[in-house]
Amino acid sequence: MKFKQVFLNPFGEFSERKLLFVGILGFMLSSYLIYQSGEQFNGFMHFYKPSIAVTYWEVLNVHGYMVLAPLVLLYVLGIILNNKTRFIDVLNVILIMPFPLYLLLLLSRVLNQEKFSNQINEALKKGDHMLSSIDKSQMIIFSVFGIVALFLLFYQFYLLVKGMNVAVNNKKNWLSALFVALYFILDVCIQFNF
Amino acid sequence: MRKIPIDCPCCEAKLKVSKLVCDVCETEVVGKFSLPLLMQLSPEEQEFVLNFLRYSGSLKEMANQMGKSYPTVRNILDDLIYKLKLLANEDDHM
Repeated sequence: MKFKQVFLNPFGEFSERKLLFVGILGFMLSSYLIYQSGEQFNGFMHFYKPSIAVTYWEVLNVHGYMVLAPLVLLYVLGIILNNKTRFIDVLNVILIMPFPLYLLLLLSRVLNQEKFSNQINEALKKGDHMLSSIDKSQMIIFSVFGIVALFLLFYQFYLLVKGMNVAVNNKKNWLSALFVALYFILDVCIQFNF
Repeated sequence: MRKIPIDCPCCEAKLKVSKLVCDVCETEVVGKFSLPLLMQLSPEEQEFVLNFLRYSGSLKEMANQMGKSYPTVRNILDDLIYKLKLLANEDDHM
């Protein structure tokens, strides 16, 4: 019965404790995944490979800022819109909404997307613009991956809107658009600092 | 007992009470009376108000019982308060 709601609106169904527990777990595991890949966050949806190896603590630290920045912004906005907005509800939105991104991250590691990207770069450098040297089945797999990635990115913002609507009791579409726009703007701004 | 309709089945306007009957002596009072505020709510909203009283106003307990999150239940309550204010204003202006 609740299975559909888990995906459609988890913020409307589950207690704040359950959401917080799952959110923190996702935060820790995704940080570990990034650390294992030797990467670091430089935005809410961006990663890069630093020249020197980073520790798990450093990844956790930067990831913490990636949670704190939108949390402060959306919580202040939430309080302005509805003074009954609770900190825990906005925190849960910020912790749960990147789950599709975490899944995307995991999929890209399982499929070894980096190796595939390198193969394409090599083929293009050699003048193979039709990519005939790339295995066709691999091309199909990564085309499907691209579509899934787009869906998951869209789903991430769907969760942001659903969660914030529950947290501030919003029913206006323009405010939902504002949540997404502010998240995007903050993401762009934060890249200059990390 | 049958449910009292609160909206007109033809034009969906709010219905009024026009006749009250004493069950014992069958005295009839005829007039034009507004329905009480709570009666103007939908059956689901009335159930919510009853549950609110049943759980001594504890939204947390209500959320547990309804299988909903706390902010969802609080939002339903806020919407209900807003609706009751609108209905009270409508009644005042009539």
